[in-house]
Amino acid sequence: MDLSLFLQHMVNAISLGFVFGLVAVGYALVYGVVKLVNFAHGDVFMMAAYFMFYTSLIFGAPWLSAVILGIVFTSLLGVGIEKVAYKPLRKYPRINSLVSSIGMSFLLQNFAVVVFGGIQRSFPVPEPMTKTIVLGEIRVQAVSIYTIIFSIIMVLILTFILQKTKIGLAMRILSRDFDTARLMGINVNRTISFTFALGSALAAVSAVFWALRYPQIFPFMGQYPGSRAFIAAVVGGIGSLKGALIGGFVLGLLTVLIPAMFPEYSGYREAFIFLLLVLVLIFKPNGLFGLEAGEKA
Amino acid sequence: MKRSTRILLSILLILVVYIFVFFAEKYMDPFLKRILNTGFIYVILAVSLNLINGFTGQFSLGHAGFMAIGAYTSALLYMSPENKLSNFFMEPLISPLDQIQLPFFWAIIIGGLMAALMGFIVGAPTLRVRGDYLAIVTYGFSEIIRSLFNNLQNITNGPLGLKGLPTYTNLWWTVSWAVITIIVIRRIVDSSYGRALKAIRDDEVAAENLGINLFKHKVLAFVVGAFFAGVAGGLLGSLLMTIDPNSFSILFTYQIITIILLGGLGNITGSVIVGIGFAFLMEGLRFVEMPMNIFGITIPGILGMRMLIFSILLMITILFFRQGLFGTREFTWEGLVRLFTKRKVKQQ
Amino acid sequence: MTEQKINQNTKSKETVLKMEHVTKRFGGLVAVSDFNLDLKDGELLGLIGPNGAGKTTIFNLITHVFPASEGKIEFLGRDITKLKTDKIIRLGIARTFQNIRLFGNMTVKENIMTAFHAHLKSDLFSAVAFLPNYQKEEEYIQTMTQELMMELGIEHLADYKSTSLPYGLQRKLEIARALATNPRLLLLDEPAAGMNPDETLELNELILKIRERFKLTIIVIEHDMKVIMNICERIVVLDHGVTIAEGTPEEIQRNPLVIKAYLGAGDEDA
Repeated sequence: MDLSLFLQHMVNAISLGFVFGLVAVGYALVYGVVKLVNFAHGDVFMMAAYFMFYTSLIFGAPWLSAVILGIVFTSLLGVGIEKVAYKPLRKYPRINSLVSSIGMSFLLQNFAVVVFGGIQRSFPVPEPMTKTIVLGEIRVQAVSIYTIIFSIIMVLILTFILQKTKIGLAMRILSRDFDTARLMGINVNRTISFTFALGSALAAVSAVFWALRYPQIFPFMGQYPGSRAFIAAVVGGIGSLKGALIGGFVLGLLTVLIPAMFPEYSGYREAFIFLLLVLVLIFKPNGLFGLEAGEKA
Repeated sequence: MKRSTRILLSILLILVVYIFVFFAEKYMDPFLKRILNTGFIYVILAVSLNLINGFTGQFSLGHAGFMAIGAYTSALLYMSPENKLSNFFMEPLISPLDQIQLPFFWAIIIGGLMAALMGFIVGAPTLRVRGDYLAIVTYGFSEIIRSLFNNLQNITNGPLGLKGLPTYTNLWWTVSWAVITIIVIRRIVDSSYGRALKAIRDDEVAAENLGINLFKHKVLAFVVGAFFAGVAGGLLGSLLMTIDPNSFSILFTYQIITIILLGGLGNITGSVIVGIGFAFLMEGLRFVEMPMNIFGITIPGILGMRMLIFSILLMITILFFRQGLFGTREFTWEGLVRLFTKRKVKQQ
Repeated sequence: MTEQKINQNTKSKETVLKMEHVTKRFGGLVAVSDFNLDLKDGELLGLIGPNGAGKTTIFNLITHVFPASEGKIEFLGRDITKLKTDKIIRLGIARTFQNIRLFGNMTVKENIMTAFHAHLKSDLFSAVAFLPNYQKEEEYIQTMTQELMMELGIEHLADYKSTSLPYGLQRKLEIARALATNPRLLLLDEPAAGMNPDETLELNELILKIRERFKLTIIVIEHDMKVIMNICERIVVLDHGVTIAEGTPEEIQRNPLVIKAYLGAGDEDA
């Protein structure tokens, strides 16, 4: 493979890596604060795509407004889901919340099938995003460039929120020690709601860039990126946002580069990724950047 | 009640069931039979998943993956070489699979064993990780199997799937396997091993500090559960006459999860009743997907309404019936007797 | 120099547990530093110290809830420093927990029966098929569970859900459960916590009784001096992970370092 082709693949891979990374971070954010494996995350991602689709279709809103509205609706959805399905189960064993997130995932998918219809819809792609940029021998999709730029912006915004704001501090404290945090006067409910809003917003943003790459949206579209998010978060280290981002990144790279460099084995890409997951878990049970968890008797 | 009495009563019950099966196979409407067959397959799936998730407290989402392995393994073994030839027109099936043909019974058993083997291969590394991760990893495993089966054109025929499978599955098979599953898993649960599994569920640290090897026991539950899932997969394949990788997706697993939640986690009786009930409910609810005529107005059928109703049911169970519909009440012969003697006393 | 009071219960001077230079670090924090112990058969040792002194950490190190950073632990002459928890238990060490860890979804009886699984010889197949070898073991488990319950005075509660018991009885159940694993060495972590003076007296009697009956060597972590001073022959005092004193109850009570460590800690339960 020559250099220009390789670079094209790399750009592609990096942009996909960011998409997976963002979904993974949104999911890891929620896990870090409430210790909940949010199976519905991928389906919130799916709802975001539909929100944007309908806003632009039904209300004829210009693309950017539809996207922003979509992000807002998705955040509200995330908060709503938390209040209905997770908050009531907070005081019970974790398995109840886990099961609830599965149920919520199931519900969202079936809801989408009934309300939005099972056939694929075309996500609106604005003109600038359809272009292909040509730099000498290299042909790069504009979408990829936009994805990379905006993903980096999102990561910076997220870092700012976490490190420099009060609510970010509250989130970090909750993720370290839930019980003590409560005693320190942190408004737990508000912090958790915000976490879900933020995580859902991240899912919405990744949904945009996903849908720009793969404009056919359908009710089960969240399954694949959602499962990538889980794998990324586990490989990167559950509880570590940095790890989730890197994990998503690595997955994105593998997803693009394996079929590109070893086309005969493209079908086994999934098996390879799963093998990676298993290997990481065997040698580093807490993921690559995970924190050492010691159970105190 | 003496153990021998209980065994006798159980044998009598099984005999009654088989008499029912005999007449059902002869005279029952084929449509109804199909629902019953599906119901008993759900029972096998639910009870086996309950062993892993309910009794051992390990949240596995991989059941559909084990089903797929069982379904494909057994199908490739009981299909005739001609059948295989007509199916694998894109790429020929690898040898010696293309020539082998085994009786249904053995094909199902080997299907189950293959699934059990996979259960071990998947379980061994992953059961060492924390509970929440297991859900993710098993979910991933199930999807990997689906992806793999979609790609191994020369083994599974890829996305085309296998069609024209002979229907060996009938009530004799499904009921027998359901009975075996129930007996074996009930025996495990009632034995010392069952106590160890329940201890792991209740408090892993305490269990370990009582000398229980966590890993060994978790893998045990996993492998046994996987075996029966494989068997169920094999039976389902022959019932539906066609299998493809996408029918064994995470969505199928969600349905089984629904059943064990409704029946009660760690409740075999619940899994049995809800398992069969689920099959009927699924059929019964088909009407919501058909156009309906109410007061002369035609309401168009909405595809997917069935599953939506189920999802809502599931969420209601999760939020308001955390113990399921049956809680922890299991069927026992003593319990049944007590029910009748209480009534008698009341009437006096 | 420590005086070893020879207790008539000591059958031999065999060392049951030996800990040499055991240290445990959690990142930068040293929880236990250079801990040494030579525990003889039949001894009743008290392990005391202010909160956070590292007492439970030592129990966790013995049963390998986490690995020691340094040092060696030997049980009946065998190096157990690197063995897994369940293996160590099966070799004959049992422990109870500071915050009782019962199996909440099981009855009192089932909790104890579960503990016998550690030494079960029958395999799964024998259990499922209810073969004679398993039948015998199951009978044995039933009989022994009944005996243990009677020994601890809880047989009338056999079918009650374990967590529905009053606190003091839950502790007794935990002890019964630990005994079911057939230990040589029993580690009791604050068994008297939450007990009133009458219950504490009962507990003292119980500990002495089970030591005699089951030929145990016991280490007790306690804050309640009514237990430590009355039944322990030897006491080890820990403060900030370091052994600051070791000796008989009388010696410890007079030891200025100990008094200083405890001053104002209010450990004298009224």
